[in-house]
Amino acid sequence: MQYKYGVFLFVGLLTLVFSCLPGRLLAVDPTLLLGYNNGVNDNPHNLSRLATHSGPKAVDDGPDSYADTRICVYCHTPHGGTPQTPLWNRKDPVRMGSFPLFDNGPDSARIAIDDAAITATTKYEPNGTNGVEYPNGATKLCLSCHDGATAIGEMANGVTITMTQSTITDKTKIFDPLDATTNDLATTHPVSFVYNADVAAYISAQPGKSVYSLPTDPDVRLDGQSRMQCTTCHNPHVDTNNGTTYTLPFWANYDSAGADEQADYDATCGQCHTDKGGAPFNGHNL
Amino acid sequence: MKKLVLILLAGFVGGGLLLLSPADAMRNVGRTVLDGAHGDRQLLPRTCRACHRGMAMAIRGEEEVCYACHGSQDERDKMRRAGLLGDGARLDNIAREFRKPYRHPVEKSRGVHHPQERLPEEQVNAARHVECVDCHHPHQVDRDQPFRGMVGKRVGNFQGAIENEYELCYRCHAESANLPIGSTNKHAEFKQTNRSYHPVEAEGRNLYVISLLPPYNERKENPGDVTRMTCSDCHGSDDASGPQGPHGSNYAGLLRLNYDTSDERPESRYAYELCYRCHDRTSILSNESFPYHALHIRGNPAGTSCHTCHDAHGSSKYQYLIRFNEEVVSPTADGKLEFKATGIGTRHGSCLLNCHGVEHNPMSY
Repeated sequence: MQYKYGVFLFVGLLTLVFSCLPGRLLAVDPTLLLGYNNGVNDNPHNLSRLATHSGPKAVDDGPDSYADTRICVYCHTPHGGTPQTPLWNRKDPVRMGSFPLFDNGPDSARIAIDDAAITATTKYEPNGTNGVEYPNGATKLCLSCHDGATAIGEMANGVTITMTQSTITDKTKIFDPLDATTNDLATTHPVSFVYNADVAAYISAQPGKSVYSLPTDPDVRLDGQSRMQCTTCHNPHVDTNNGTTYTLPFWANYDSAGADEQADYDATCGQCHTDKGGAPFNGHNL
Repeated sequence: MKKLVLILLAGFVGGGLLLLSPADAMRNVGRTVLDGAHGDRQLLPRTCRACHRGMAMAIRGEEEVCYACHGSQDERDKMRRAGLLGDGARLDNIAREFRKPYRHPVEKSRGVHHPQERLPEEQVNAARHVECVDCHHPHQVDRDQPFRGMVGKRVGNFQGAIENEYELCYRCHAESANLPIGSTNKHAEFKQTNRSYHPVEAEGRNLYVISLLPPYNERKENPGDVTRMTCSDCHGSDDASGPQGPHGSNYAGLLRLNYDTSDERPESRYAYELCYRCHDRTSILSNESFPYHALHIRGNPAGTSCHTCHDAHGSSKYQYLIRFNEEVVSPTADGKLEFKATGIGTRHGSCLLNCHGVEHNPMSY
């Protein structure tokens, strides 16, 4: 009886624990995930020799080696990683310090959240101000390949893998502050800034601005410090872009499971960029 | 045992709740910033991406972004092929309007507009600029409501919504500290405390404007009477079938119709076409309001423009929009330059001035 009781308790507990797995990794078409899934290796973030895409990947280093078929190692390591979670295996981008801040106007005017009215801890800061680096968090990790300058195959734990290309060369996929022909971080959506109720209220109060809200959908997430990062919209594990009917890359808010790109897109923007139909306009056509 | 079942149940129910996509419960349909014409999915099937294309999300208000749909047919076809523009839209070529000689010079400034700028401008040395987004709110603009969503006049620290078109124009053409030399404060010209003004801010003060053509009227007497006007009644495209609004025009002053303001010229319907749109040419030339109207306008051999004696916006000093153009009209030998009206709206008065060599000291009517 006691034993039975324990089993029930244990099963109940297990149910609870497993139900808490992140929703974004459950119920996703496995062929969109990083390799070793039914032999599909076309996820651009699969950098192993097995990858079938045309981007950078490991060079085949002989039949006896498994080093060139590893997938996770490019970002994660169980030992010897950086202090940053999750078990992070990337060095800082070599361009740290020169990434431009989002700039929404002339003479390097910052966006409203840069205004002095927002306290130093909750605004968007240039590199190192108040001890906060820029970019920070997950964005910094993404840029350790997507700056087009940091070697992809040189990991933080000392492992080095020879790659077919040492850096990303597709200019549409990189943000190199020293190369004007790549994406300009100053004009893309701002990242690495604290976005909390204070900031949202502040931007909403700017002339001509609509109402800004905090995201509630768990697929559109701020990081642990309430910062907006690349990962707010993108999930680096799930390759959602099929090149035809669904072109949003690594889209985190994948509720339509590939059926309705526009709905997923709108639902993402609409998490923060909202209008409650208040003065001076009354919403219609929504 | 009951307890066990409860614990199990709690576990499964809790798990089940979390396995449901919470997004379904949270999804707030219609929580979007896009409203008005640009919020119409028939027109912009890909919503935000129509303008915020690719990774370049920041738009600084430069006109090229707008020209993708509001420019040439070629540009529009590109947008249609990319699935960014719906088929149902009937769009004018606004870019062409902005190539006309008299226009809001959107192409002249780059990177000057700032989304947080506060107008009217308070800095004397601030650069003058205009971009599409200074008159149109791209997220809110709607058919027949071109400036929907724009905020207008500042009242202390508060900026209210724009209700009348002139409030939008006044953002740059009234109390701006950086008005160019020779530009006037339009609010000062139209304000209701003036002796006379065209009825933009309010109905006019003169109840006897004899030359008015129907449906225009000094006061509302019959349904359909028009007693007020807007800036764009006079300022706008010279192409009657083209896009409305003061984007550009071939006529000086960004006017919809021709208005000659020079001296020494023959009268014709075309010369003062703008005025004759509302003011009956026959009435004016038959001297219904002023016995010497025809003499002044037609002259002998050449007359002078309406502009020589009238200011189309308003006059802070005199009735009947009288404000002399001092490039043509000069003071009398003893230094007087004055119009004296007899009473209010009596159509009698006298002038003290010197014009085309004729001393009026005074000349009465």
